[in-house]
Amino acid sequence: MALCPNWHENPGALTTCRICGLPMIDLRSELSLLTNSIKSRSILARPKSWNFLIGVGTVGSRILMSAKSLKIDQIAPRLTYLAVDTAKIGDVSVSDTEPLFILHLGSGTIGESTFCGWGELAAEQDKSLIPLIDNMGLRGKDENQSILVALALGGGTASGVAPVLLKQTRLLNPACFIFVLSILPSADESMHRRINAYYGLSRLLRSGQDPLADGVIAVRYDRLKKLRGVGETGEELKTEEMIPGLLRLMASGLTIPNAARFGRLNRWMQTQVMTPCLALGRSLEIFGSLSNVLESCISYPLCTISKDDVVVSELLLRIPKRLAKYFPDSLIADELASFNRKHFPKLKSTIYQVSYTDEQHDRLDVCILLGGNDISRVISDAKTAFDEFRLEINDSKQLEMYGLTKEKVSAASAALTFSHS
Amino acid sequence: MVEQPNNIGIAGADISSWRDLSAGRLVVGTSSIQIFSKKSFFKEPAKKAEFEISTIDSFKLESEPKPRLFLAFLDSNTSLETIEFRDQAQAKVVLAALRSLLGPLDEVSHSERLRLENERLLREQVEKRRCLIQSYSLFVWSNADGLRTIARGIYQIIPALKLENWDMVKEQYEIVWQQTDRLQQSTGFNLLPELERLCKAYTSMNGPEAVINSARFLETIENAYAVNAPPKREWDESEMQRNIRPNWPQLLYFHFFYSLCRKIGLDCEFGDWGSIDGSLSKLETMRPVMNNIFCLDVTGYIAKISDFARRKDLAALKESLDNLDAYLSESAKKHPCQEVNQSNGTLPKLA
Repeated sequence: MALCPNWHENPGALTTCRICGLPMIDLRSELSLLTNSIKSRSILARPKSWNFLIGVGTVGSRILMSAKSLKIDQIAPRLTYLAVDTAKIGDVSVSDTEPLFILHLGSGTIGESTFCGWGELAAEQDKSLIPLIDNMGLRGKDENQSILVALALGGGTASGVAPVLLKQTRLLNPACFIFVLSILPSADESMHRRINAYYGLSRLLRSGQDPLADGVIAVRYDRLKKLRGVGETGEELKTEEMIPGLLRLMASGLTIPNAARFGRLNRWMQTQVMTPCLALGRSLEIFGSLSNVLESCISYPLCTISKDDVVVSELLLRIPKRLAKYFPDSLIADELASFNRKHFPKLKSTIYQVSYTDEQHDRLDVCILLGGNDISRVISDAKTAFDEFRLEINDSKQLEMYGLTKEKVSAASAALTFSHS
Repeated sequence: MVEQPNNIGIAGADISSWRDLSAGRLVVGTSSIQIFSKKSFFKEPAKKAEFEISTIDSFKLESEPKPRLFLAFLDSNTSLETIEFRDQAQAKVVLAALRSLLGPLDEVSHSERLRLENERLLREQVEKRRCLIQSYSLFVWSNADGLRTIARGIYQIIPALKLENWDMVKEQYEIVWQQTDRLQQSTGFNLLPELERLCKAYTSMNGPEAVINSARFLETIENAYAVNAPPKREWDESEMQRNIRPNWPQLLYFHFFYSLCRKIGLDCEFGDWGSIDGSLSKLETMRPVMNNIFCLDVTGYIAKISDFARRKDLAALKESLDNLDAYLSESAKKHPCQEVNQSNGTLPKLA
């Protein structure tokens, strides 16, 4: 038997009292729901995060999940993780101490969004995405907040969702620094992947407005596949292990407390797209000096770049703590200056950040981010595909199939032309 | 003349006969009629009898053959008294005094007198019950308002914690503390340990802990009201629960309604739009409860809250919630209540 608000006894199944007609309310359980709803928000009251590591799309989420083994939370303090995908993301933990938010756009059962337009629509229509970002702890005009995003722009989710997501983060904290580690499709990949990449980049580097990202670190997948490196255990790294290695280096330099130096330089030099040159696990015993490691690094940039275009070089160096005495600041600065002089005739500025590891080996991890004002080489493959697409598919109804409109296509086309022609 | 301190003599007359007394004096006082023996050279007058005015049922004066006063008493066992006056003038003085005190009782029947007395007693009882219900209703509403103020404070602390606005947290905590202290005094519930825990969580400035302890604090108060019997007062609690709306066990329905409104505000503040529809439908379910039990017309407030929440207009929603607060606070001051028709109800059960 259940009691109505007037304490009339009723059979449990009734929704209204058979005597007075008032609704039957399970007060205990309703009040408990209310207090549980308060408790569920406790995570949002944690101290303001300094760093955010966000994985967008399937590839981005996978990169994010490697953060635990990389101990990113030890490199970037007060870290919050966010994984966003249209497909189901496994309920995995990326940190023992820091919070992870997982968001499945739509129902989370759609699977891969094949086209940027659909990804963008999924992000715009999802009721939870914006509130989730609003509650992550980004606020104020605070330079002590940095966002590191990992994604593959060839995917529809990443290229569509990331701009929506980052637009909101910029709105919440216009002063925060945003760096995007983006895997770009190679020339032999499908046309729609290249179109996605172009569209995504155009949204990140918006025409006529401040770019959403302070640095898009562009990695071409075909180049990544050919890269060789050695991991902490001394074994050769597989292709999928390279990106986490790069992410770890980026986390040491492009997060708070160091992000401001890199972010301000990029804003000042207007070098929003950076080409990384990566050398992971270079043994000092074999290479002999830092300059040799830098040479090894430059020999294989992860994206197309002309040395003549480079105006900014940013060095991220990770060395074992026990070797720190062999790498005083003066030495690093000198060797970097010498390296820069040799390779980049138009270089205007350089910067470096050293991080240390407790490992006992003698291997260095090095990444040089090269930035120029002309990004046409970086986007050339994607642009070709996008231009073809624009010419071929000009009808509104056809564009609808891709989740796009004429206006969006024109804006995307103008965005990269405008800012970098 | 001897007079009782509370019986001020207002008239006196010489009597020529009363029982075995051949001469004496009758004094009409404000509360009684006294008969004294005659004063002589050797002795002072002695009081022979005293009749309380309130015991007199009726009186009658006969002029012929001699002026005589007949007194009848409410107690039927008391015999009729006959007092003979020396002359007409003496009798008239006494008659006027009795009429001024008792009215024309010589014209009112005994049964009428009884009826009037019963009516007076009934009026007294009704008034007494009215005062009792008023006290009870004041007690219930005062607790309802205390619960409302505490819930309001806690629901305002949560977004402040998200923004690490500790000044706001402190400001709201002071209100929560005051109200809890007031409720504690009113109900005798021991809420101090939980209040201390809450204070500790806030002073530690650990946001997540503070949120969890805020929710726990609300739970403790809700449990206290659900489990504990109300404190003993001048009324019969079970009789009040049978007959008066709102009553003590119904307080939590008021609290639920208000918390639900505040939860909708919180959901909007956190952009949790997915939960709003469910909460709004529950709010609509609570409308007849608020109307029927608490005599509150919340229809307009619910409509506005629903409208603004669905339109995601946070500023307007906050204003609506503040208006609702003002309405509930004003209602608590008026503490509306109603007696229910017993034939329609069953015995309430104490939680």
